[in-house]
Amino acid sequence: MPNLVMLALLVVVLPLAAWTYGFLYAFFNRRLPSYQDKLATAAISGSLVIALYMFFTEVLFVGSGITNPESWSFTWIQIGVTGHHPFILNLDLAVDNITVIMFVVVTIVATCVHWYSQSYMEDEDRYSRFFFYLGLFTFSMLACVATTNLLMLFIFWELVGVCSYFLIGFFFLKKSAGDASKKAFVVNRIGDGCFMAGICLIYSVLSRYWPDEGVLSFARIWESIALLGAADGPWVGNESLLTAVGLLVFMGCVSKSAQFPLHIWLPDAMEGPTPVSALIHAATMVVAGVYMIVRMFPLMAGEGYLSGNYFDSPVLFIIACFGAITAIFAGTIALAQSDLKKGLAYSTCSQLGYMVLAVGVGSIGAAMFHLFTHAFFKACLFLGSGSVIHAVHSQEMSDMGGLKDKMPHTRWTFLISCLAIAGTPLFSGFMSKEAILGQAAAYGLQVGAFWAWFPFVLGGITAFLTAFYMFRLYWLTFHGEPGDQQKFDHAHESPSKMIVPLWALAALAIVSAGIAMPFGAGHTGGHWFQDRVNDQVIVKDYLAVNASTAESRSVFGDQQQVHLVHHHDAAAIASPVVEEFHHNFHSVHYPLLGGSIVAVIFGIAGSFFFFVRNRNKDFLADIPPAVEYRRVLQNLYYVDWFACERVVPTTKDVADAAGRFDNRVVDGIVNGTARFFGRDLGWAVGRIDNIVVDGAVNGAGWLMMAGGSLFRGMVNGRIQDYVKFTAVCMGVLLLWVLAAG
Amino acid sequence: MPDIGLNAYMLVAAAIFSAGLGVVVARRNAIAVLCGLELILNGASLNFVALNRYTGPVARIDGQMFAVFIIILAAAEAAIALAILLNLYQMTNTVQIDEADSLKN
Repeated sequence: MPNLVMLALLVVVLPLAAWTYGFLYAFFNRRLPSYQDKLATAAISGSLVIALYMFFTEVLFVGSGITNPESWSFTWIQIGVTGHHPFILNLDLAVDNITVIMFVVVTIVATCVHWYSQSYMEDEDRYSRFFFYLGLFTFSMLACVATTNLLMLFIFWELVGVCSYFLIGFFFLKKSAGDASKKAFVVNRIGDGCFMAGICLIYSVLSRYWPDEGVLSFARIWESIALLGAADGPWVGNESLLTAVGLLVFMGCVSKSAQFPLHIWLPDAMEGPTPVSALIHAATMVVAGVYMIVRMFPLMAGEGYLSGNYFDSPVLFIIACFGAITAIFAGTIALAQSDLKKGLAYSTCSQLGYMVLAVGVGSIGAAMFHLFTHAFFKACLFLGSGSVIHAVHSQEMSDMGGLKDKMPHTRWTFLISCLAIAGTPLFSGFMSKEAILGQAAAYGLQVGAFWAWFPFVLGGITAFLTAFYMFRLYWLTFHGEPGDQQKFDHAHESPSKMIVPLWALAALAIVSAGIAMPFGAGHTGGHWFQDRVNDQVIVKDYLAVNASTAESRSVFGDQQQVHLVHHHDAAAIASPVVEEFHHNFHSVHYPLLGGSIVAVIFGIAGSFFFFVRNRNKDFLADIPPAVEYRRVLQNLYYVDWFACERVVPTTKDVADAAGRFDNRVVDGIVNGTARFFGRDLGWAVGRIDNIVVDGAVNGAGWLMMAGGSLFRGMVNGRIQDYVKFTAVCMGVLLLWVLAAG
Repeated sequence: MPDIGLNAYMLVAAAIFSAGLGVVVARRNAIAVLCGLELILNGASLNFVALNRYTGPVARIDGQMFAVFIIILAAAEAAIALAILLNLYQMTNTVQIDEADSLKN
């Protein structure tokens, strides 16, 4: 097995080992080990070290990163004989730039959360169980990003989902926590069902083309799209099905990454412990959806994947719209949240909307970049909010305020992260958000139609809103007068176990901007990070080898070559469309830069004006035209209301009706059939048996007896009677012969 | 001498046969039954001879040969039958034929 794959396996397996130890210990001792926290932390720290080693040695300072991903694959299930259309499921593991980047994100945030939780969760019941779940989650998340097989991704996707369910409902004695975990689980089923259907469709189409392989590996899925240019590609003639598959797979992202209208589970998920919110519901699990659509980007891009001209893909435009709507939708709701964590949750929703928008406008590099930077500052914000909640024992911002001197470390790290998420220059969020907005604007220019500007316009407004609502949270928490004097008096700075992770993440919120700077040799421009991401999925010089089907076959026929051809130098052939897009991107870049800096300044200044100068905690209530809007916002645009008061009862009614139908009609038919065949027909058959069959048998017997008694008298042993009988018979015979003759 | 014709022969033969059959059926004495049996055989023989004379080919005497065989057969049969009757008499002390109904068992 290749070396990098070995390291990747180690990264994945370490948290699993800690979890398994706890599991076995609990199996034999009926309780988890008291040192489960240390064990889990040690395991994830080990994973972190290995992941960073991989990142620095293979991706960061090396040329174009991993150009030839090492892979490892084995057949998990094979039903049927090779050559006779067997059903095959493979397990694939490959290490490429995206995997390593995701490893780094997951292990850094997970390590911070593990250290932080040791202090934060100290006094809670089921302390060891918390780390037990956390270990399982970390393993599943790492495995989810390490695999290059869609089915395995789905399996771990579900596993992180169930861990999320456990952890949201960690305080399950509280009814709201139990309800929230159920809500998250049920809402995710909607998207996951669609995702599953999409996977089944992909399998059914691709397994016909490559009958003897596990066709759910990423390489085969990408290749199937590349073969759209060939006359006999798997999707040729099935283009509308491809569109459906793209949308179905995207639905998986909609529920997992909390996109409108399935975002409703994420704010409720804040019932879970705050470190969990930071790890699962901000930095890692919720971005799994974005990660997945990045990986499945060719599927969404369709035919444009070949030429680089995926700007007219309807699926991508729908994705961009989902992202844009979610971004502004959640951004506005965040304006009216009084709960600190829920404000952050809606901000997460909004940022996820940005990432999805980026994928939709065809820039998976920007999406991954924002995913990368967002993970750090959002985890920092959540851990910071946890620190505050730990201090004042409340999540309501009305109980906070003026904490800046009591909790200096928390305050400064929170401020740094707020600046990052708001998009202040020199902070990481600025770089990644800029990339996304630039791509969205270039998309608008490229397509040219007015509707193509929709993602950019909403994204631009959201950029302003983000600065505004994030600083609203900051001002209301750390500045102004204490909301609750008693709580304020008891507040204190958190212990170092919580402060160190905060500073680590805050530092990364600044430093991770640098990752977009040009490092390494052989690099031409300022899109270092994005090139590394694009290389994995987008194939630039594929165009060169795709001149004919025969040639493309020879490229892909090699089983060892799991990934598509990658471009090895920056001078790879790019299509005119790609060139044009780059040109557009650069033409909007500088105006956009200025515009967004202005938006950030106005956002921060505006919130300063409202919340610090005027000390107005509920600014919308005092602006007459906004009062009605405020009510809409506080009702979360009635989406939750619609889901809980309309969709759920309707579903229940339908289920009841179906149940009644089942009871009456289906059961009636079954029982009637059973009654007819089992009872009525049986009775009739019994009658026939009694009368006809028995009658025939008895009648035959009776006939024998009657005949016997008739002839018995003739056999009396008297020879003379026999002769008489013979003579009579002969006489009769004679008469008969004479009469006939 | 005028020819009396086949019918006359066959009538006589039928009469003898019927007489024999009547004796066989009606008489209880086994000796008489044997006599009746001889009458039946003789009636049949007469038929053979007459039919050969009137209907058969001129130069052949198949019917006469059959009659001779029947006479021999009757002698042999009478001998065996008398032996059976002797044994019957020794066992049952009678030759009344309706007493000998052990055949029904």
